[in-house]
Amino acid sequence: MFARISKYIIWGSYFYFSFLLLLITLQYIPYNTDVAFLRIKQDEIALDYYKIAFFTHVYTSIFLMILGFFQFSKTIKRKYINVHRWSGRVYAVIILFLSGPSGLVMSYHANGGIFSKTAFVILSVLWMSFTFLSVYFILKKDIINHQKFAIRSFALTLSAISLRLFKYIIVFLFHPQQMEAYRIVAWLGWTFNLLVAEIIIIYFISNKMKTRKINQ
Amino acid sequence: MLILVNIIGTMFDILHSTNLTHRIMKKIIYFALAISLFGCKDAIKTEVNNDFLIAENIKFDEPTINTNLTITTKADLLGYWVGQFTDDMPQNENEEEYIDEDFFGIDYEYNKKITFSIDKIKGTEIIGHSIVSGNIQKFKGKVTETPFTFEINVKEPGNEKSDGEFVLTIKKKDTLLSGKWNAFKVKENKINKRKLELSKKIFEYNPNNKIEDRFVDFHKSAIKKVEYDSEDSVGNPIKQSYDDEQYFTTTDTIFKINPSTEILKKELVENLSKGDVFILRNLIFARHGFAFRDKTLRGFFDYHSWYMPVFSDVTKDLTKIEKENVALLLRYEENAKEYYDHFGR
Repeated sequence: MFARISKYIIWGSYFYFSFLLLLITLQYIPYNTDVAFLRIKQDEIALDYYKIAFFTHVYTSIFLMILGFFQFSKTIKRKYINVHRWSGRVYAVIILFLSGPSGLVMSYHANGGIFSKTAFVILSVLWMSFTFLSVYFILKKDIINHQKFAIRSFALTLSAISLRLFKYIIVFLFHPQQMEAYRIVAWLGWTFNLLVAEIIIIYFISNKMKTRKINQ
Repeated sequence: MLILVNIIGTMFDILHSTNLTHRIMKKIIYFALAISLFGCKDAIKTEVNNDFLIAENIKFDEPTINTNLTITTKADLLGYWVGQFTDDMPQNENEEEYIDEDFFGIDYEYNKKITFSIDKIKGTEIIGHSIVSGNIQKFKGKVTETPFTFEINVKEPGNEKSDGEFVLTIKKKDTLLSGKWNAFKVKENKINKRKLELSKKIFEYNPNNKIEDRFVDFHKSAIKKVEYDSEDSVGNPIKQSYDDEQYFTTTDTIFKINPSTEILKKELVENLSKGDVFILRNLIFARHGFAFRDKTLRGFFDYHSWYMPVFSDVTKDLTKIEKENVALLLRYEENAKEYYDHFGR
């Protein structure tokens, strides 16, 4: 019962925060280079390659939230494996060719100096690598490793939410200067997620392997 | 808004039609929809309206400034007269209100800075405008010359609630213009009698005028819990906390920055506090003699001896460096206001 309720809470908040991300995305529709986050990125947005990277990132990343839901629903995996496969392909293509590389370009220009730039560069490199490995292992039919890397990849996808959530919490509790908060969440936003991902991997996947061995 | 509902609606339709989920899943989506509609835009940002950028446009004759500070002839009166515009009501009548209005020792209403500008003198006729609290009002009246003094008696048009009549005198060969102001509408004004002591000042733009104090806005604060170690009655260590009220304020960094002479770098601005950015931007306007409408800014700059509120719009006077800095600072100010304590960014 408890597990069930917490499951609904998790999915509920997942959709709530995805919706907030959608609102953030909608700020940039119609195309406008002088709104929201871009107000403090005027030097960068003047660069053509940054402009392309930014809007690619903003317009494509939002779909990952819906696609990610298709990837991890057990019902879908069990009954509609084709939905899982196709949404997974789209998810991987978006990260490997659109969202990921554009994120890497943007991280080079991140606010907050070298400290946060490093964080975002590592984030985008890991994000693409994990996604690639997840695809690689499923092509090799290695489901366990596929799952491990898929969980890690999705954990980093969720940093879009956790970064903002951490910022909100930190500002609420400590009222730091704006950039200070940004530097902290640049690291905390994804390292925390990765930590949770590893815990999930250890508990769930190793449990699964045990039960599989018993069954054999 | 409708678009959002539609998007969520179709999302739900997809899930529904393919029969992917059970009834519960529907509930979750409805639940998510419900909260999101509640939160909506407020959750990601604060809507900011830029009313602080709009200046009222009252036309007045630019004064013909006469640089003589000591008055010997009528023409010497021309120019800006700056001084305190203080409450002159009988004490006891007002006592209760004094306590209400006096907030942490800051008197916004009872003691204001006034700029009394004499723009034109034609025979005995005198035309000018006054600037108080960022409000500009024209006046018209008579100036009479007696053997030892000049006497000025001018009236404001009377269309505003705060209009009134000035009666001022200055001795010949003196620099102090003093007198009284009486409101026309006695009942509508809490303070309907004021006295003035003005001295003539030549407005001069000086990009090196300095901020002399820390800015604190006592009306804007946030509560922060501060924890400290303590002991309970039997001596066990416990944690206790108190609420520390933190005000919107500036840090010492702003004393080192001059937004009128150096182009500010992005890296510098992003590390400033919200208060710093706010004051640095307004310092530029203050140096150009902008008459602030914002109570707290007025209070802050009024204490600076160099500050002279003479213009209602200074946008044309800003230098190229200043224009660039104002734009940059404003971008960060708005961004902080909109997104600082919100989920969005």
